[in-house]
Amino acid sequence: MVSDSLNMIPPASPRPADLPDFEAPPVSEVVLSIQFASVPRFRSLYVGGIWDEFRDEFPNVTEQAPIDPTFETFGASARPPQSFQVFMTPPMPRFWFETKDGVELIQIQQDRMVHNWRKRELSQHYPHYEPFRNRFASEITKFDDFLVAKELGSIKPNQCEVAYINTITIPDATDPHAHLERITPLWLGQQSEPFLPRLENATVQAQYVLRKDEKAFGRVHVNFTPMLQSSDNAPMIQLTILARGKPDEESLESAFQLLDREREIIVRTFAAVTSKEMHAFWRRKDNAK
Amino acid sequence: MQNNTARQLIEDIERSGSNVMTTAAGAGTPPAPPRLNFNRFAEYYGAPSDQKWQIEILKRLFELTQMSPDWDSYGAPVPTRDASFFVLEILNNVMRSRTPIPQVVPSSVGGIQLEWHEKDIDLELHVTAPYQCEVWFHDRRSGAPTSTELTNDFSSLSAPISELTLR
Repeated sequence: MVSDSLNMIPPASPRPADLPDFEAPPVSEVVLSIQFASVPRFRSLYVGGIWDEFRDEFPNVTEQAPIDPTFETFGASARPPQSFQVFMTPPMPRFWFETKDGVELIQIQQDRMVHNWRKRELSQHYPHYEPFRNRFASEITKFDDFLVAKELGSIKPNQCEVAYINTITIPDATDPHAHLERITPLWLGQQSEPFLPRLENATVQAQYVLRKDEKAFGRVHVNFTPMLQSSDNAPMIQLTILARGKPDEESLESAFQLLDREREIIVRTFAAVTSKEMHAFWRRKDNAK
Repeated sequence: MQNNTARQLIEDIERSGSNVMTTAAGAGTPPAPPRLNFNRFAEYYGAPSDQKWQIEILKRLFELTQMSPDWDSYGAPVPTRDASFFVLEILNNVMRSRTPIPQVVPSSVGGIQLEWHEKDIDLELHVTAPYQCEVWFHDRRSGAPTSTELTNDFSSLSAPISELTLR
């Protein structure tokens, strides 16, 4: 039986023809997340019930500390977010449901559902947004149906997030920590006077306000961070692009419209903040090269 | 004590964008550098620090979320965790080092109300849920009261907060 709420989430639109596309993108993790008004009656004792919906594909369960609610707001001074977890810990943890190979992960807590795809082997390819997003739509619909059936509440989305995490190296084995300028046009690596020695590493953090009809509804956050690969300690740059915003309405349909928009923003942002040299390395294949 | 206050001032100035959350939890935001006017140094020196308002507000919010349902004997629900976090988000954006700390009271619909009543200013902000807020402002020296509904843009709070901070 197909539930009413799944009927309300339209499937993902076909990929826009002008969207930047790469044969070998460096994506290593993709995250789709919907934060919703807290459902306090969804307690740990119900987790087994919702896991039954997913356990065939996601047999491994672990508990984690919950993620704090996060909101994009505007018009006042921008300050670093504070963590208030220690004071405001909810009575229920976050639950991870993982596939056997650890590639896919569903996260559930009282006010958020998340689906992650994580690259575990070099040969693995990102399964593309559209089917990944449609699966998440099915999963959150099951969760919503479960909450309604148990008379615990329903999902009323208030923030939607898409994040792409990329692992970037430079093709000729140049240390990427010392040559961020080859990866992103946001960093020039120049000095007004030749005083400083060779750059050891640099971090670039930028954020941009997203608007619809001149009204701010979210932000896209871009972070280039020097890191070491866990497999061989080789230096790499981790590029995280995260888009987060408030849906027009507190409905799953509106939330998925925003997720689709955010994914498009992320792909265009990725092309905008990475260099032509890297585009060639990742084999850009759309026409707008 | 003076050393501690001075250290807090230094920390205010030196604070950098180190509060960066990761992956799905979100990205960081660079801080606005604090503005120090030397003529107001003494006033600033004795004023509540960021840490002080945060501690007092957190303590109060924690108290509110620990209340029992029907706390007003008219069936009022306990203020929600969402509303508490949204209140913190707003305050984190609008509070300055010398801004008076507001009173924090529960509302009968499960929301939280912030109230400032001083310096001939009445400012009330009622948060019923994330992105559902109403602000009521009356500057008794200059005009009639105004009431505005707010969602995600809090720029209209800048002027009242500025008056509360600097008057």
